[in-house]
Amino acid sequence: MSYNVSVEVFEGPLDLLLNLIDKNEIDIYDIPINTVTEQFIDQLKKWEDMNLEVASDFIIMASTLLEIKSKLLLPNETVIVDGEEVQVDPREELVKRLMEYKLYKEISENLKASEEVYSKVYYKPQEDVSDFRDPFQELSAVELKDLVETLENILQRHRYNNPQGNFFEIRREEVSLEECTRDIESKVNARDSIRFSDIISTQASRSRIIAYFLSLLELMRTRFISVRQDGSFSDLIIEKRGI
Amino acid sequence: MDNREIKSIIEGLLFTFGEPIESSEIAKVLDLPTKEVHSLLLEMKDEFDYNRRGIRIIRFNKSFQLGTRPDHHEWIKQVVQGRNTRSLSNAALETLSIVAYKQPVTKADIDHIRGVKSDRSLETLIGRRLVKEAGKLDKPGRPNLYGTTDEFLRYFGLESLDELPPVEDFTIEEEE
Repeated sequence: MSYNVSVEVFEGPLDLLLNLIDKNEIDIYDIPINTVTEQFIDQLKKWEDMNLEVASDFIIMASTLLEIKSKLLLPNETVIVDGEEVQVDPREELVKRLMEYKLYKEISENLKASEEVYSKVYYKPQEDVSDFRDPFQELSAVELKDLVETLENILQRHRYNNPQGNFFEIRREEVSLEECTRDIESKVNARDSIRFSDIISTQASRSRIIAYFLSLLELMRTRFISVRQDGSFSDLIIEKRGI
Repeated sequence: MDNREIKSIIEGLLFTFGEPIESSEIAKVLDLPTKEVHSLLLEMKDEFDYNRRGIRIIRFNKSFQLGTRPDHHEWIKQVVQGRNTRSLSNAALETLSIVAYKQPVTKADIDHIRGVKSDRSLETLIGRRLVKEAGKLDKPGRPNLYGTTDEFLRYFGLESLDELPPVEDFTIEEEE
């Protein structure tokens, strides 16, 4: 089962008002504000029942209509224009806005018709002429002198970016496991018990520490040493195992 | 060079360039006064129409461009596939109408006339190069002013803004 729900689309509260005026065949200069306000609010209620969010602009318009309605109940305001008393119609401002909106709505319908016609025109994109260009012609004005100057410029800039001009290479430190194993062996042989922190210097690189640690594990496996620790994260104490 | 030859060159230029080109640009290439080139272009435009050529010369402001005739769309569309013709929404058209007739205009003015916020519509119009920022209003906050572009003229088949129908054409007199 499918439902077809048709919802009239209004561009805004003025659009809805114009629609109501059209529907009721009302003279725009003499709007029966009671009827229009009622129908306007009915429409908002209808939308709410359909769970459609009613934009704040519509609510503002509803309150404007109610305000005009209440003003109409009061005696007419008068202003003096050119020495004459003129009654102010509370609807005047709204009518002005409606008329202006109506004008642009009509203009937009006119534009829509033009759009319909002129969207049927085809244009051609710019011709790709790159194939016709001679790549060597662009270089013909370049002389050897220019190349030398360009190179000089590049070098100059390079020197500027590196004021000292001292370059050195940072080499990867290579530590062999055998070397570390031999080192630990000799140290343990000399002293029977030694701390891990004594073997590696404080400036030892990460890879050196890892290499020593791996050697340590290897020596434990071959049961050459035993390692103990007094607590978590405390220094490792390495002892030579009696054979 | 006689005018016949100059027109011939201009036709080739318009074809190759494809996009809108100002008469002054063409004049520079031909080393002729802009005024002369401009009137030659207008002559060519009439000749193309008079001979009912399949290609029209389209003019908007000072720019010229080759394009097909709208009434040939029925046939042309059969050989051109997947052409994207997104027409403007009613909201965008309303906004555009206000910009076209009241330019330069602020967003606040547009919002007031329409009774709703027009941010989205304005964005769309600017994105499609139909509307551009046209300076700032010399009032507190210096809000942006908006106006139409040459693309706007082309899009709606207008030669200049003067060709927009006057507002009086739209106001319906309700005489009693």
